Amino acid sequence: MTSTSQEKKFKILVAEDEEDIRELVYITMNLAGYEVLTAKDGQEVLALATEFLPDLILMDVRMPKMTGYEACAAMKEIEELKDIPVVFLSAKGQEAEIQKGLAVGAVAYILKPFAPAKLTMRVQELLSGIVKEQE
Amino acid sequence: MKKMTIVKKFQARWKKALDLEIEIYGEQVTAIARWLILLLLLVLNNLQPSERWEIMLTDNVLLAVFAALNLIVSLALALGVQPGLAFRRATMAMDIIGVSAAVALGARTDSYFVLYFLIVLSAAFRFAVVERLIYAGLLCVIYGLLVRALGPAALLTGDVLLVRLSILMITAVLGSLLADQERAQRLRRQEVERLIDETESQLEEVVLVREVSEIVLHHLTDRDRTMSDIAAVVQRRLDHDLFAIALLDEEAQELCLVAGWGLPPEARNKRIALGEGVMGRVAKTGVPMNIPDVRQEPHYEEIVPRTKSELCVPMVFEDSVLGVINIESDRRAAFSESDQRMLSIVASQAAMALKNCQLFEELDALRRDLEIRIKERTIELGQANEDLLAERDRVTVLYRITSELASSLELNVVLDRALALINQAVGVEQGSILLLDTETGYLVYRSALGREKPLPPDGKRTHFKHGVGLAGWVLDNNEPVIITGLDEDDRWEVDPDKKGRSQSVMAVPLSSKDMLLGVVLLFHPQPNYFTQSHLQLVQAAATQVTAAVKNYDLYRLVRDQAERLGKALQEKRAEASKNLAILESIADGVVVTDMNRQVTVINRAALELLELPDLVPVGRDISWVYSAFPPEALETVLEAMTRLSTRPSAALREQPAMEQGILERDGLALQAHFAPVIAGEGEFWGVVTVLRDITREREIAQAKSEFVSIVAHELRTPMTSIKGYTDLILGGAAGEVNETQENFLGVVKSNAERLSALVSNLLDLSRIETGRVVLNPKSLRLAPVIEEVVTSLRSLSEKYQVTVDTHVPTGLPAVNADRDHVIRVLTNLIANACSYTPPGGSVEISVQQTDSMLRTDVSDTGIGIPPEHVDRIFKGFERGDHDLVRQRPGTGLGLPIAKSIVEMHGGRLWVESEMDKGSTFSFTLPLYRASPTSIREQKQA
Repeated sequence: MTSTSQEKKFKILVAEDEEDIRELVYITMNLAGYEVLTAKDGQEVLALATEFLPDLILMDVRMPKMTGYEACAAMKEIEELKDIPVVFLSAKGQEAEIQKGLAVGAVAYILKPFAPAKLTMRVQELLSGIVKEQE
Repeated sequence: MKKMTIVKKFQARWKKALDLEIEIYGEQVTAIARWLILLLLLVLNNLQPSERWEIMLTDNVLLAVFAALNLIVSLALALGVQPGLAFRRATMAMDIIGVSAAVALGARTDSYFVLYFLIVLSAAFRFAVVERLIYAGLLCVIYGLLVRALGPAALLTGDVLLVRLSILMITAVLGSLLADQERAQRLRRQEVERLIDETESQLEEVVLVREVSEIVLHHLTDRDRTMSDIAAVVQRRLDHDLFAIALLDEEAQELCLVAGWGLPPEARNKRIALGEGVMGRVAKTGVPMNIPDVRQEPHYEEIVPRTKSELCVPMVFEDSVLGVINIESDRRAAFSESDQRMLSIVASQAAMALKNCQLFEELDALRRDLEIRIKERTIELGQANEDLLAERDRVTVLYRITSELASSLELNVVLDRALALINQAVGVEQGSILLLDTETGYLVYRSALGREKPLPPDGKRTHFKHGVGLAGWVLDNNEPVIITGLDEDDRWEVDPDKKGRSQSVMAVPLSSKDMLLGVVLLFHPQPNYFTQSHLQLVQAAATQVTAAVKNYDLYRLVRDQAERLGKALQEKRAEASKNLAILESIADGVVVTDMNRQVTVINRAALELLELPDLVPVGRDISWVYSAFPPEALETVLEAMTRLSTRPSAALREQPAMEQGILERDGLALQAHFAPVIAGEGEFWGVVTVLRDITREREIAQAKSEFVSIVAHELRTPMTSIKGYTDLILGGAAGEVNETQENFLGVVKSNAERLSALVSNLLDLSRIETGRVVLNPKSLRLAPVIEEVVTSLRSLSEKYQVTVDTHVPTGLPAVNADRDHVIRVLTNLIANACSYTPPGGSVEISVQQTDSMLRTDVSDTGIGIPPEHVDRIFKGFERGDHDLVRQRPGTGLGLPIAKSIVEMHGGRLWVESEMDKGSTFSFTLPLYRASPTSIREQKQA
């Protein structure tokens, strides 16, 4: 896979307690040419996000210590982090869950199981939006 | 005749003269006397001529002139000249001048004294007492003066003159007295004569009246006789040559000659128009006409040519002219006023007679008419009386029959009694009543009188029926019949054993307006026995018997009905108590409310579930039933009931409507099913609510849902890994993949996807079941939605080589539905249709409106569903056994989810299928309304 970041390599933070899936997303994003950071729980997300200020966060909802919702909500409270787009990756496909996710500030809600190709496409879309905004 | 008339006329002339002026008589006498004396003197003087011839001559001339004047006066008086005062004074002046001149010339002779004497005498008869004394005195003075101046000495001696003057005065006085006496006597005589004449005339009239009256009275009724008798009277009384009576015909306004004599034959019954001729005019004016000379009368109409005069008087009664009486004479002026008066009297009597005749005729006609009427009326009354008597008898018999009939409801008793009474009333000893057996059509002897053997209780069947025998004839014609002689009538079937026993028969049908019940037969040994009166009575009685039979039928019907009803009631009661027991024993609560939302039935379970006191609150309002629940519960119930009650009855019949709702209170959850109670012909009667405690079920469902949710979630995580890594490998992320590896990984991938879909559907189904799916219904047009779904499935249909057609009419109303869910249902149905249709087949989607719903049909030409599987396909995890089914991916959860979604909308989903021919999946969705009954958003558990 060749890197698609000709101008700038986007930083993507992947938060997932399940190692297999974390690895899957990591590989997928890597293959897509992004710089990828990984976290195992919500607290780690907050820490890494504060440290590296990623361009996008792909976050599982159900995580130990701090759930995805909680982490997202917390980020919105922090000035430096509140503009970072958050995308939930969740097995909970119910409308209520999706609404809840969007309510805490997520820009997208991707239901598991997902096809890696589709995930890449979705991330690209979101990031191109950010690029446009920056331009 | 002619002679007599002349005499009469003469007498009348004299009488008239006497009557006119009594003094003329004296004047005439004295004038004639003077005339005779003067002639005598003249003769004497001529016969003795003297020496004074001249004087004599002079005297003679004077005397002759005087005599001539007196002669003229006398003749004038004799000829009827009526002397007035001037005439008389002229003669007096003539006397004085003439005599004075004569005396002046010849006073010398004594003969002039005689002349004076005569003049005085005549004066005595001429004037009133004073006048004649003055006259006499004047003559005496002239005489005295003349004698003294001219007379000879012998005459002048005082004594002679005095004596002569005295004689003159005495003559004047005596003459005056005599004349007065004479005049008074004459006047008395004349008065007496006049009275006699008058009396005679009156008598004559009275006699005439009496005669005519007698005639009138005698022939009061015979007009012709009266007229001819009157004619006879007139003939006797009046001198005439022609007599005619003409009567007025008021209608024709003509006179008709009815009686008379002297009439020519052609004048008999002659008709004269009113106003024409003398008779016509008299009849018209009512005024008599006396025509002295018919030639002078312009209106005269000739009857006989010899007529010279005519008298015609009207016959007047009470101001109306009835006719005229006409007499004619061959002489001129033949009829006097007296004649006219007499004829008028006759005419008025005749008029009265005529009127009498007329009245009598009218009276007689009236009397005759009255007599006829009385006679007729008497006959009528007699008839009426007879009728009344017959009617009374009939009514009495009928009354007895009616009261007898009313006294029992046992048919045999009733018929026997009725027959006995009829027989008694008509006077026969043998009779029978036959009733028609409607089942067999034969007549049955139900009652017989004069029969040797008694009839069995149910009667005895005969071989008579419609058209057979006399009874059959009566039935056929539905009219009574009287047979006067049995042997001659072939309608009667002669029984050889009983031949000759009866001769007369009367048969009357027992019939009412709508049906024939039977026949009454009565027999009598005597021929020609039965009369119309009998018939009327028996007919009336038959009507009563008919009524009684019908009453009996009715009574029997009512009795049977009552028995049946009693039995049915008992059964119903048993069933009701059984039902009640069942109702009471079932665990679900049942509440039945009527249209007014008042409780009519509630079972024990309901009371317990609703936490109501242990008494049956029948008739209480629905709000009372749910009083233990929060207001939302009652609201749910009322909304459901409103929806059911407002749904058209046709829709109710077509589709048994059900409403559902969850009623919650303090952790207790009741599922309420509302169903309409439809009475009779689709009329909404009320609602039956079945309440079920689903608290436990919900807990279980909740637990199951949570379990499913957890399992699903837990499954999705590994699936994410499986799917993700497979994709990565297939995408070459782990190096080159050979063909076999790719195939194998493809299998892994597709099964992972299938598992994923299964989990999704499982979760959805679980959420629907636990009521956690929220619908967001809006006005939705189906056509574009169908088009969208068909487009999205195009790749699938192309893959399976199936053509998809849509038939959605334009102008369909919108439905009230959640777009996403409708898409899901349509996607499922169309995808299924495509999947289970062999290549080359077709799928057709059509939409139509039914009442308040839109129905969508998805038909395919696919493999079809075996009948035994039809129910199962909606239950979940069920798929067909067909090879094609196994070839196609599927979870077996699509249809249950689609069905649940449709039902949540208030619609229905079903399938009609035939093996190897195809299936049609249909679902309905409610129409969108301006104020839509919102599909209740069910709360999340």
